Amino acid sequence: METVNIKELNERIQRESAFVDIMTLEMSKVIVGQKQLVENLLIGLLANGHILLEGVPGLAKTLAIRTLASVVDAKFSRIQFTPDLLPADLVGTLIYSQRNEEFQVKKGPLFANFILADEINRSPAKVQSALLEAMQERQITIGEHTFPLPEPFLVLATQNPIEQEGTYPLPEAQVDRFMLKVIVDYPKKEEEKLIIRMNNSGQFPTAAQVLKPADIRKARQVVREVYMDEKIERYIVDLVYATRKPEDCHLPDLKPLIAYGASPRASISLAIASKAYAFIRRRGYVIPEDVRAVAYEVLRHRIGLTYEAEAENIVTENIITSIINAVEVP
Amino acid sequence: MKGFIYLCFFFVWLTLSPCLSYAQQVTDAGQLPENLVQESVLEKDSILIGDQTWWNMTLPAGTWNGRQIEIPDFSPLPYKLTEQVEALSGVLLDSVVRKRHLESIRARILLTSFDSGSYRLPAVPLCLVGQNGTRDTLWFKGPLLTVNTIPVDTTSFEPFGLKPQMRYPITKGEILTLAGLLVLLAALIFLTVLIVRRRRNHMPLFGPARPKDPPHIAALKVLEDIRARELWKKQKAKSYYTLLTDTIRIYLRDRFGIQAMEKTSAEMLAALRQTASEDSLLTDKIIGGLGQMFSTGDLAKFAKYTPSDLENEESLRQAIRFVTETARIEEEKEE
Repeated sequence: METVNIKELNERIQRESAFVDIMTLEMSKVIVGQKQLVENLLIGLLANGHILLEGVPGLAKTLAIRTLASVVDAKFSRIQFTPDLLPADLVGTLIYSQRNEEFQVKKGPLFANFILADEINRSPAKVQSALLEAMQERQITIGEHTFPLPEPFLVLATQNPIEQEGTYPLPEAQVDRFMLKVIVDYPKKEEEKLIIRMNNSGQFPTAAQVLKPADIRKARQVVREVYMDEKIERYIVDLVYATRKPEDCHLPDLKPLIAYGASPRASISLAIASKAYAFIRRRGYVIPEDVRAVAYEVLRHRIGLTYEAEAENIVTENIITSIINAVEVP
Repeated sequence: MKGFIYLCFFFVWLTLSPCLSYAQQVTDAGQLPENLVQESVLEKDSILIGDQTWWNMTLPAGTWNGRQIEIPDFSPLPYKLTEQVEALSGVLLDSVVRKRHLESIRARILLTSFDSGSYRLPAVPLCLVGQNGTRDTLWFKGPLLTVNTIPVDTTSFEPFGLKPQMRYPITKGEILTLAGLLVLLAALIFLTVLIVRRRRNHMPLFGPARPKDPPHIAALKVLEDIRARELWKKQKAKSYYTLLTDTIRIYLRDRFGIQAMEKTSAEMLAALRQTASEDSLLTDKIIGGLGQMFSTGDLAKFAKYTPSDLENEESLRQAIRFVTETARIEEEKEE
């Protein structure tokens, strides 16, 4: 039987998670508001999961990711996805060197710690696939050579929910590879006033570098050790299962609205994201609140809606809310 | 040439041979002497195609004088009397008695036809065999049978006057069986509904339903049971806190209408604080005490925390205190 010393683990997490506050503080210097976004970026970073950001233009999506990269002493690449982008533009290619009379590898922008794939749905499927393969395998093959990607490797892709013309929506199988899908909302009135003031003054604060990639790797290890009770595991499975068979959870009304439910990858992501959330809350164990806190981000892109649901203007968030309110908490 | 003549004879014999055998029993009355021909009548001289009628022949008294009557063999049935008319029965003999005196003997043949037209029936012979072997043959002259076709509607090519299929009357036995089955089915449905309802309401299957305990009584009963079982002393802190928090959750649901089973500890406390503005019994102190119990419960349930006996007993006390201090006793008394 597994033995876990929760007291010791708690103390360790208190120590190891101290950087979270500093990191959040540094990021908040640059990004006004968007606490939810910053928190989810941290969850993705700690849970080693990629993030898909969705929001209208001008909500500081790019700035948030750039700031996260600057807080960590890590290499950052921004790739603007366009319809004429090619896979080689991402992963790199072989270039013939006349001096050495041989082909040399020219690594692409994916060889970085933080990748911002801006407007990922502007590029065709072959480019998306190249990126998503790197996300999954965490290695890139150019010619005969396979190169592991640096650690931490975090892809933050953005997509615009409006302007669907001329875009290539990500297929369900590829969307599933993103651990979290974060919806970025407009700032509050007070926050927006502050943004105007900052821009008018022309003085933009910068975030200090407070972390090294090694710290992230260490923190990830601790996150994996966060204790998750069997009751919480069952709760996670119940939530995910309810997306597949809502009628078994006394939600027969949802059955005609769901085309397909969340995959087992959703269960895995929900578990690890809950652990990361507990870590951010400086706890050595997961409680149901942690699961619920990340449930929307983990599940929203993994539930397929039927035409009936779309006709009734029902979004996946409505489905998740119904499930959360119906599944018994341990 | 000689061979051709033989061949012609052979074909003539082949064609006439069935007619010859038939002619041994029935033949055209026109060829017979007048004194041997008896009259016969048809019950209906005009029938529809496929309809049936009796052909009656009467032997007046004294005709046979104790002689045996030999009837023609019409097997196999149906027997073709002519190309168009068939006999559905053999010659059936029956005696006609009036005032205890045998008046006549009647012979009957059931006929039908499936071809419209008027047909002269062939004469039928009845042979009277004497005791010394003498034989007299009586010929019954064949009457005229008219077979009518069914009028057809030329616009739809369907016969006029089609009658629906005959409905047989339903017997009492059938009605009783059906009624019995219906009663049985109704009883089964009623029983199923009763069982499901009682199960759903946690009521006994048989006997009157016990009145449901008010929320605080139900909660206190379970809490008392938990105290009696002393689960925490058996190294079962997790089960103990699961039972304890679930009892309070059910109480919150029944007493305050909070869907506590689907809420986390923090959400339950938030909902209670919201309800506190409308319910004076919910004080900050009592909610705080409950929060402490939930907090210890979460640690025991999700963090492998083993609370001390003192903490366990305190949690139980907090739970009992919460129930007793927030119970709606006065209203229940009025009820």
